[in-house]
Amino acid sequence: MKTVVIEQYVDLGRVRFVSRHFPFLGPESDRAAESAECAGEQGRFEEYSELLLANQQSNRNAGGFSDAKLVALARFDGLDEIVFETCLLEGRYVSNVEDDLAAAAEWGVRGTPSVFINGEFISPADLSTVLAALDRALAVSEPN
Amino acid sequence: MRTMRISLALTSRPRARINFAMAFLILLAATACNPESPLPLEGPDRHALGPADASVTLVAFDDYQ
Repeated sequence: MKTVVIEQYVDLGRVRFVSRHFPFLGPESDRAAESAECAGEQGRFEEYSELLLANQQSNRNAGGFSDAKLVALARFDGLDEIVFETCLLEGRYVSNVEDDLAAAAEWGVRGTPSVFINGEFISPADLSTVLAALDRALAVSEPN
Repeated sequence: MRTMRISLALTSRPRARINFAMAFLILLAATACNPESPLPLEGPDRHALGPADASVTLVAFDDYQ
């Protein structure tokens, strides 16, 4: 969904896309979210996020996103491994992830993906529903 | 007549003070009881793509697992 929205709306300058964390599936969800923040420290948040999504495992919290795997993905992505690992071990972005979780709780997020367009909760968050909602929002904001 | 006006003014002053104090206390209580304003949906925009002044903003919460 994100890729299509970015290609068809964000890259054309019509929509702003904000990514936030909602790690609710266990400890490896937390670590994956923190690791994405660490990648962001090196300017590779989007690229590393895509790597994480491409490496999702069917068995959750079974080592698929262990610290060692996360560091290996960082290495694969060309990140500075030492800087990345230090960031992860220090838990440098734990509070950022917690901030996202707190905001999600306030806005009634229960699962993922959860999508809001101009503050309106979009459900279900499948591609066709999200694209239709974007078109409606744009029709209001860009009437001509 | 003048004496009466003065006495009225004098008696009304404490009442005005009481009213002011009451209003202040009510305002204080209302502020204390008010729930905090909700956390902003967009947050600090750490990971935002697209123009900051876009008329449409999509916020996506996701889990990598």
